Amino acid sequence: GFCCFSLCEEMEATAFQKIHPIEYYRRFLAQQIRPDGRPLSRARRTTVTCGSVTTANGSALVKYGHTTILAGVKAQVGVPPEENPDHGYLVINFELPSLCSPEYQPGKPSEKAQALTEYLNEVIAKADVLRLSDLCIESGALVWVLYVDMYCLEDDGNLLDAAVLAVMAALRNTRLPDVEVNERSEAHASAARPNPLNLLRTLCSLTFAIVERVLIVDPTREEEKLASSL
Amino acid sequence: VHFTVFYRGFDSSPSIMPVEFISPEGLRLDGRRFNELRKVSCKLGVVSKADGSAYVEQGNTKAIVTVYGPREVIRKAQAEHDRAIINCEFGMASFSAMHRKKSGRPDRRGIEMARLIQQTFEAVVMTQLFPRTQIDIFVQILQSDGGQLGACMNATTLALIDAGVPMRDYVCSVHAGCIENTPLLDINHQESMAHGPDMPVAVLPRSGKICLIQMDAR
Repeated sequence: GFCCFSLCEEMEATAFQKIHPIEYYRRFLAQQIRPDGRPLSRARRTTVTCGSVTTANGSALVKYGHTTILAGVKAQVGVPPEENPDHGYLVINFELPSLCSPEYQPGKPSEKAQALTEYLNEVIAKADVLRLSDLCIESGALVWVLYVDMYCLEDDGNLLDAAVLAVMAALRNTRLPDVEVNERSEAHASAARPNPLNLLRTLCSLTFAIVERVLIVDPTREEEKLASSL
Repeated sequence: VHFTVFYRGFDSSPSIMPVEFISPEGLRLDGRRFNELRKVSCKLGVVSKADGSAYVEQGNTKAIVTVYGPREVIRKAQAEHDRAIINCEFGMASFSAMHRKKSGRPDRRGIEMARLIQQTFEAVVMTQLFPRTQIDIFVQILQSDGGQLGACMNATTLALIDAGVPMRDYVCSVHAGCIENTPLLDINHQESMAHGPDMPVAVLPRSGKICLIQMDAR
């Protein structure tokens, strides 16, 4: 009776979305709302959980609606670059494993992941989120190298905002060990990690998309596909 | 000047090996007895875009598995006319172990793990019900503290259940080891580094058959 009718309606709506996605979306835009019920200028519910990966020096799991990104920071002792002998450095790597979406085919390395890696490295490096000289252990010889590895566990659009938030949260959660250097050229990093990073600023990013000449905030994957620009 | 760096923590270097793995009272390093499992927690449906997904924690080992399929075969040449093909990809997060592992192309160990999971599930999933399709299993280890293969097998079973893929039985798996002539159940990373064997076993509980057994020893 009644239950059967509403199930039919739901199946029709899903079919309509598959066959004519832009027309389906226009119906919502006309009411100034989006398929998940959000008004045009609202971002999705965001949750951040820090410190879940204990093998990493710092970690953060960020969820923007269904988009899920896990960032982990591993600190390793390394050699400083020649041009800046008392600066440590940050290496950000973004991975889009095949598990995050049915669109990514197994085996093929993703251009999107490489583009995001490049973008994140540029933005975070230029933004001076931390004083690289804080990462120095011994000038000209030993510095901390922070590897920030990010894995997208589910891609439902707007990877950029989630990625930036994940990097910032993971860096804030990072704790470095004490390092003792002795005269035999040995450096011993302690098991304890008492030293937090001194972050100068926190970056916040917000992505807009234009769909059918209407500006929306924080697009989902379906909306990204329909958008004429991001 | 060239420096040698030592990281304290759960290294495998002999200088900081624990003195005793099993105390005189019969307690292991984490307080368990020889036949006790670590705390297990699992969650299904964690990746909404996937057909099936599961997240499993066994102690400090955390694995997430997603299943896509049965879906159309991507490379037509690989399609089988009478059954589904099973594809498995295995990855470990760079920060999952104590030492950072460079990500990128999967290493030999990753490929071997993927192959083991694929072969195990090819025997268990009723592939003859879905000819000319493929079932993709993607495994990612987020944190590893021993028993990776076991956790992956369990998570894969749960993800396949979540995806509604018909199977003959559940695949249940755990690692066993032996230190100082004492057999141990569900060994963690430190115990697996203790110059004893590491034996993952996977069984099908209803029929009592063993579908995977392997032994590594250092």
